[in-house]
Amino acid sequence: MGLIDELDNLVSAKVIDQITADDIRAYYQAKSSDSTSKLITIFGILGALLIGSGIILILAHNWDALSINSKTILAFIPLIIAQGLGWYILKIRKNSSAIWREGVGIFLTMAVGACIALISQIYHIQGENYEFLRVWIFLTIGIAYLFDSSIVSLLLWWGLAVYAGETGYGNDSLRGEYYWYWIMLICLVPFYFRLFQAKSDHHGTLIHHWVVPISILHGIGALSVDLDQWGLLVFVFLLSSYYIIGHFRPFDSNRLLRNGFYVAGAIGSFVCLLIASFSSFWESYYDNLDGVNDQLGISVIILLSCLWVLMLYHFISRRSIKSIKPFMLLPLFLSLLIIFKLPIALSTGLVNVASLLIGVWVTKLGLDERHFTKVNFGLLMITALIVCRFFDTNISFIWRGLIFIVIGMSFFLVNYRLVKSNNNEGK
Amino acid sequence: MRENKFFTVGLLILFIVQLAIPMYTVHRHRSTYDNGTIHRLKCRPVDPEDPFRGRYLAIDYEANSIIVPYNESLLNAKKLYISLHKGENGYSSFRQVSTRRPNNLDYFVSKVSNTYSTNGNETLRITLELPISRYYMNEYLAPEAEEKYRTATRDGSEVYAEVSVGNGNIVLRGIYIDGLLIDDFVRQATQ
Repeated sequence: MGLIDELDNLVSAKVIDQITADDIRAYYQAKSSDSTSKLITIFGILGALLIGSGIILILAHNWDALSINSKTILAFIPLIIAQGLGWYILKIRKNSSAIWREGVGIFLTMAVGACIALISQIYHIQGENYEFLRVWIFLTIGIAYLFDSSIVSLLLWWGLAVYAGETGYGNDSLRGEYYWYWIMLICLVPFYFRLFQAKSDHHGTLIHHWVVPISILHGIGALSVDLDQWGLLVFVFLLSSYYIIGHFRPFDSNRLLRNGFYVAGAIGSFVCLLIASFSSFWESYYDNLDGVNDQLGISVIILLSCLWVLMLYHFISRRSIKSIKPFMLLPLFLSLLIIFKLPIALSTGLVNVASLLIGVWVTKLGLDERHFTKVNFGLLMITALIVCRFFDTNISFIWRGLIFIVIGMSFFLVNYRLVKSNNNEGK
Repeated sequence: MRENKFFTVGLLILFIVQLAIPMYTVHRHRSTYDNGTIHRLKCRPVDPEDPFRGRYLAIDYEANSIIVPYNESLLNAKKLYISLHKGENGYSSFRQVSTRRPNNLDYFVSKVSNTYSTNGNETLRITLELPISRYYMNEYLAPEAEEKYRTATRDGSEVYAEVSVGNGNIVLRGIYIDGLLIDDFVRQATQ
């Protein structure tokens, strides 16, 4: 029997008094009516969405028959409705829940895009996708701040990444347009800072910890074709900075899956090392180095190296020099190889040795911390390095097979040892 | 932050700007459409798909490639002012190309796609990226329209775009095949 049904018995047995029984009854009644009203709200929203979608489909079917004036008015209606809802949520209801603010914020963002797109279509206005995106992003950045909407912010970061892709990656004629990416990014970054100061454990904030570094990586990647031989060094400085940021609060207290900066920095840095482990990389690097006057590449490296130095200094001041990890010094290592213009074989050999040592170090770190992911990442790094060497060295099939068997067995043994030591610790 | 009067002002500014920009676009185009000079330009088509703004007919114009006397300032220009001239056959051509705004009202601004010198550096061939190269139409009619268009341009039918030009702006009014708007032409052909 439920608690409500037992209340009278409890009062009769003088376990609780009548006032307490009435309070308990009132509490559960309010709770059920609250969940009932939430259900009604959800079904109401679903109903409204279906009706709205139906109206849109009917209008779309008859779109050609409408006059330009009618089409123009219809293009503005979603935007006006969204703004009206936004005003109601923020100014009249005031203490609206996050769900309402996020929902209306997203609706308004989409309504702005739909209005611009429809007007372009109605009046046959030509414009490239990046122009449309730029206007859309600038008109909706304010929504993230005013509605305090992390989802709108994530949509904008996605939009920025698409904009970088449209205007970068070798599009020389759009170089001027590409730089708007950084202006829009500067407008959006303060919201990200506000999020992790005010809502550091919020799901939206944690997703930002992945989206932001990847979006910026993509944004800089859009310049990679123009950066030529400087590209790898640019990425190494950026990724090493990410890796260092991943060690600061609040990131260092998060699980790996919540620490996008750390993971992107570690994986990305290793990928850069792997690329530099090929002798063909150094051959083409030195071939292109002479007579180079690439102001863009040098400017970007100077900027990112300043960021890296700042992050490293901050890390050392908070901890100690002994806490420095290998990935944090990767930019220095590669820069020295480039500055001293060592023979190709020596540069390649040093990078391979460094990659192997880092792989071993990560594996050992994982064993010491009893961290499965780090152990397996370390082993994966060693495996990837060996596989890459298979492509540019003449090793027989037998030796390749034996090496793979050894590596595979190492995976099993190391993981088995880790599981066993975890179980022993549990006992 | 929500109680702050700056919040209210910020919200109002945001909403006004979001409405104002598309409204200004509409006003500029309607103004040119209603008051601009009407010109006819001969054209040829393609049919790609724009993921953001629906199905459109891409239009190429016979007049979009012009030859002018060699001029250093035109060689590296990214945008040019184009003045139109109505021919005796009823079709217009691009009479004057300049990096500065002309005095007459019948001009518009166009991006430059490509420029190279010809005839031993005596002339320049300029290919323009005209702002009237897309005609948005019903996505189900667009493929049919493209087909009718290709056939019409090959069999000598009169195919042209009607545009309004004024105050530096150019607006596409419609694409015509033998005097009939292409939307109506396709609907008639499919009935």
